[in-house]
Amino acid sequence: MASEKSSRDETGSSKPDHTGPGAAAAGMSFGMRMASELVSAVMVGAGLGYLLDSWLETQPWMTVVFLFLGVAAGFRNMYRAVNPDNSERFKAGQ
Amino acid sequence: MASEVAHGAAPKLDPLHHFQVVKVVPISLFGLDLSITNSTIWMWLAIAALYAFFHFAFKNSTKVPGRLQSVGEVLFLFVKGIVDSTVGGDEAKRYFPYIFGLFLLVMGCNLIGLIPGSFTATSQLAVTGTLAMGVFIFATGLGFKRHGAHYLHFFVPSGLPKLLLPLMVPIEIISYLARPVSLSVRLFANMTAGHTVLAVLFFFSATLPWFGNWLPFGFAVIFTAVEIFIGIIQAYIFTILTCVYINDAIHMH
Repeated sequence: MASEKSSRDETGSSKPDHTGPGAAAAGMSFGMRMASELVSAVMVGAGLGYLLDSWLETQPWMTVVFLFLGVAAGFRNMYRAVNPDNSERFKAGQ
Repeated sequence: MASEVAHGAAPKLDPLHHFQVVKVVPISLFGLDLSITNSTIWMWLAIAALYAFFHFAFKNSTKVPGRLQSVGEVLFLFVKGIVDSTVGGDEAKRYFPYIFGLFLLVMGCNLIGLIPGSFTATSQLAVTGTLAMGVFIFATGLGFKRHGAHYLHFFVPSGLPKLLLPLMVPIEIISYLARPVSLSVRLFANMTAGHTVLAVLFFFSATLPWFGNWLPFGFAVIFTAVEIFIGIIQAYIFTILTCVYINDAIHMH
């Protein structure tokens, strides 16, 4: 347990820097984490757009718009996952 | 159920067979299906195993801990460390039992699912989804209780040009709503993927002739070790993200 603890920071992101099953598991978990961050936001965006479409009867525009917003949110979540300290500030342009 | 019949004739590769939820005791109350399934039973067994472990670990607790007691203390201090470093302060103490319980439940279900012939409750999206929705509703409710309508400022990133608000606020809302989805999908996908790989490897080692079967068997043994780590790491990630969400709700960064 100590081996994978040392390679991970507070948000569960990791850089596997040693060998053995612990490192393999940490790497697999990290990859799975990034994938799920991206995919779930796209799913939520598309689902939200679909619901808005069936509510406002504007097929297919809301689905298209929210799908892209979902992709953006997915990348934002991924960015947040690897970069927890700096995620909430937009330093550029201030 | 039908695939069980097919097993008799010739070995058939069906790596998803052990994810089937089977009703053991069918119960139907007021039109609701409350049957006791194999998933329920193995979740109970996980809880019972955890209860027995902590019962025996701290039965005759001493100042210098014995073997079981040190494992129990390590688990306790491990989660306490996560909670202290992410939530922090006196706030952390109030939510520690919930977070520790969540960690133990997820880890117990993950690990007990590695026993051959058992069922992994956390490989069901319904189970992980319920846990994640619980965390999500708890954290959101806590945020609104603590900050009132001010909690909605969560969706407006600080230091953002006004022009970008119509674009960024929907993105932030989607990103917030994606939290329970990614939390549940991650745990479910990790468990399902790992157990499917194990099932395929063991199937190969059972059906290949003698000169080939040791290779997938060796891989399966190694991968079982990896799965033990993954089970612990996934419980850890679930816990730490719960802490991050609770911390966001309390402090709103």
